[in-house]
Amino acid sequence: MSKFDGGKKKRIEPGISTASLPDIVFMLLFFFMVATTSKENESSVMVKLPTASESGKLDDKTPTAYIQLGVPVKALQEVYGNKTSIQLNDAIKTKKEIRMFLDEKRASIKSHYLNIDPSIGASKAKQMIVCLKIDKKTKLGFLNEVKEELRDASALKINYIVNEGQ
Amino acid sequence: MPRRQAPEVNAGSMADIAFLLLIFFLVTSQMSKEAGMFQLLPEKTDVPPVDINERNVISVLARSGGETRFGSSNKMAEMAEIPALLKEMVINVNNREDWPESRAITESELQERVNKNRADLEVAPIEKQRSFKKRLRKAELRLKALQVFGSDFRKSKHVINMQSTQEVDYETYIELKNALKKGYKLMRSELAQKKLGRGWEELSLEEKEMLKMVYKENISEAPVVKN
Repeated sequence: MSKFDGGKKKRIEPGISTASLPDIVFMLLFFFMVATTSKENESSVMVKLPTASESGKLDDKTPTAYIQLGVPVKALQEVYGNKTSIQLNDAIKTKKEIRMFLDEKRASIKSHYLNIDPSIGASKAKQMIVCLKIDKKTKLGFLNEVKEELRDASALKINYIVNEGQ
Repeated sequence: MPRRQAPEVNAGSMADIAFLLLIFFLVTSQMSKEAGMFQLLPEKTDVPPVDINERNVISVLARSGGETRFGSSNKMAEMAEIPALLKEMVINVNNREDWPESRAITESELQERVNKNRADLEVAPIEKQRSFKKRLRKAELRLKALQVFGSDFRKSKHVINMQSTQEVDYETYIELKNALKKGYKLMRSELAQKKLGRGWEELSLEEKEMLKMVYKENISEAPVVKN
């Protein structure tokens, strides 16, 4: 066999085969795609959700808009203070801007269906659920003001996001 | 001493290792799908709220400090007691005068509803077909619920009036809401046990939907006008 392995020559150290590396990476990728839900946006307010047992899962088909209520994160407290604030998309906004935010959301839902069927878009926009992520310690007075604002914007379907458990 | 040659690492099993890792993660990690509590806000209208007979209003009040009051006499109640109290008041077995009233539902009135919905569906324009179909399905299901649950299916006139002071924490508010929902679930699962011999978790989606019709949630947060 010395004919083939050239006995006298010093063999080069074989490297680790990287042929399967792509497979591994792909698998990791798939794993993360399946197992994690994409985060909608950066959090500018601190939200610790309350726990409730009688909650339902959101279905994926209904369009949603997220509103978060909580105290701004440490880095933003210099600018926004440490009172409970409203986060729309990824910035802290005022109560009055909720309406505009919801109108924008509805418009974007409609435009999404523009090429398929405008009537579906209109009904989807109507179905839109406003998901509220609210910190435990938020006072109800503040929440009621936000709810009034939602009623003004005729966004009547709301969903309080909670942690499931006892 | 001759230098020993490093043996080649067998990469063939790498895929297996990766698979194991994948399966490990899949089993141990939880899919974080968001759960929530749904609420339908009342529309903004100029129409004054309908007067409701006082006996039909179940008032629930959350106060700061986790204090809750329940029922017409506004007596203090622990969060844990609320589901049972609610059940008792809504079902009102002995038909107490000061608790919500309910009336029996007849098969003919539900049948009539089904027929009307069926007729409506036939003349409905194409773009409205879907919502009419939904309505018809609901009417049919209600009829079926009456056949399954019989005289337990009554039309209750109760309204839960949920109020809270401005200083109440959101956590308490959710806890109270949860307690009320638990009350409804208690009624539904007891009826399921009685009529179907199964617990809530073992019911089909349709059966759950029917039970939700039998004990329909009616929680209002708007100030209710009592007469």
